[in-house]
Amino acid sequence: MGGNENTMGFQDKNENFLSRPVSGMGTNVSDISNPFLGSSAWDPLFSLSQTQTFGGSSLVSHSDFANSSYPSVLENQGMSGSSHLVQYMPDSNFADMIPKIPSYGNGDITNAGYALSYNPNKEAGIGTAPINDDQLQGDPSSPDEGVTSSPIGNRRKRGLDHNPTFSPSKSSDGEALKGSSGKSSDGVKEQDDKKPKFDQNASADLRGKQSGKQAKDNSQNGEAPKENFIHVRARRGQATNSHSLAERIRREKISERMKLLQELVPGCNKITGKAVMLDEIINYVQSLQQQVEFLSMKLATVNPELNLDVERILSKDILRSRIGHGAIGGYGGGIINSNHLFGGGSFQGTLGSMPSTSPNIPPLPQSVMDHELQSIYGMGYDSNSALQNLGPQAGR
Amino acid sequence: MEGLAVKRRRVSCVEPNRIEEVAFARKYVSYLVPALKKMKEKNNKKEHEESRDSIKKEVKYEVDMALVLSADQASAWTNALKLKLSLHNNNNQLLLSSSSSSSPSTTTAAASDDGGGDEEEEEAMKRLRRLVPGGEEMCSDQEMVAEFKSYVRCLQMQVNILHCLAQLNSF
Repeated sequence: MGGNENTMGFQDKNENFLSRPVSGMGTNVSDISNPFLGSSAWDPLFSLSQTQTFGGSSLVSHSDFANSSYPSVLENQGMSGSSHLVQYMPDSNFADMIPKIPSYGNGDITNAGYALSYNPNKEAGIGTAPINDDQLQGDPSSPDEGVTSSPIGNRRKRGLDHNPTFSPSKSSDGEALKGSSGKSSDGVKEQDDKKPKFDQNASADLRGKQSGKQAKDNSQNGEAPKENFIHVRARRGQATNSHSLAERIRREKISERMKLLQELVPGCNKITGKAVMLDEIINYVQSLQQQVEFLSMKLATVNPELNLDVERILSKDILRSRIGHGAIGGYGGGIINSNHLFGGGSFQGTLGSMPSTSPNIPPLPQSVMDHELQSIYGMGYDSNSALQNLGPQAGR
Repeated sequence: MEGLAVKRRRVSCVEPNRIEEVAFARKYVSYLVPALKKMKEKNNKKEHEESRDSIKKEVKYEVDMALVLSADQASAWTNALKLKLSLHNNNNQLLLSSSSSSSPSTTTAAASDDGGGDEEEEEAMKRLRRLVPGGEEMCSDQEMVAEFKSYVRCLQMQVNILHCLAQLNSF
């Protein structure tokens, strides 16, 4: 193969890359290298590639250089998706990337195609787990370790179990582990390593296998074995046992859900702790259901002049719903106690605070509201004492 | 009406939820009020032979129906509730009230469990599922949480509306 041709091709590509502005990461192979353009790492590597003919030995030192430039690059990107992509780079050792590019140029377009297509997949896959954003910050520090051989080793190992569709040569490449021997194999392998990582869903099981092997290395570079659905990185210094990772992922999912649920229940922001939160939510929903039942019963018994115009009802209803939301919000922590508050004498207090909780009520309706509020609360005393009686008895 | 005009203006501005709420309220009230009227007329015709219980059940049915119709029809829980309502309306409405009453009792019984860590989570999720109509059939927790959110919001709105109705009617 034309080594010169490669370097030339590489040169051309470099020029292209250089001319392109450093923007966010796109699905462009050239864009992949743009972040590195942002750092000064490009030039040395450029010259490196020129001098080398894919010999891998001296790349290690340069890869250190490349790795050190990563943090600034990553900061520049500031995009979770792109930084995911970039973070794969440290392990691949930017220098390793360089040989890949010419290979793209050489007509190994299939790989380029893979790279292009996998980017969105990976970003989509990772986008589902907001956890990754947190964990990404841990990753930029990992290249600083300067332990390039182990990251390379990691990628080699991963290459072992990658989908055979990528390249049949991968298995053989995977065996050529430990250090950057055989640059050509490294180059090919790195390509394959890079792309299969994008297609994480497919190789999730394989990753799980590798987690044990990679435990030591992962703790250094923060790469994580992947789950089937969510791709999570192990934070540095955390156990990277597949079990504990799965645990963490579960926990994070649960905390996500808890946050969602917290938004629903007013006054739950201050509450911490899963058990308490869940209990509050459940109690709140139960109390809502009880209120519905009670009110429907009330409607049934009262059931009087339903001659009211729907519009009129609605207009008052809107105001009332503001009140209702304000009331619910005004209760603060004791959600169950909302019913009790109704009966309690603290009503006037909440009444006074209510306009403040719903600030966008203009003064006019507010005066109307006050009157109606008082009437509601006047009723409320009766109705809710009844409700309280109902509550324990109904056993709902 | 000034209130209405003000309301419309308010709806179009900052809070996006308001539009939802207003739409919900409109649908809900426009369903429930005529239904209650009809029921009242029916009862008047029958000279109050029916016991209060049956009236209450009917009202409850209408209330639930109103909730189902007003809420986002795409939600799983609305479908489940609709199904339950249709079943129970055909049979008798005792089941309806008893099912809703049984769920709180079972959940309160389970509330005493405070197992460690994940089991607690599982238990809590199960409880949440029981609260939402059709929650037990929902496959993933993610889906269940979304349904739960929409259900709780609709419940909140429903409670508000019922409050208003009750207050207005008893004037």
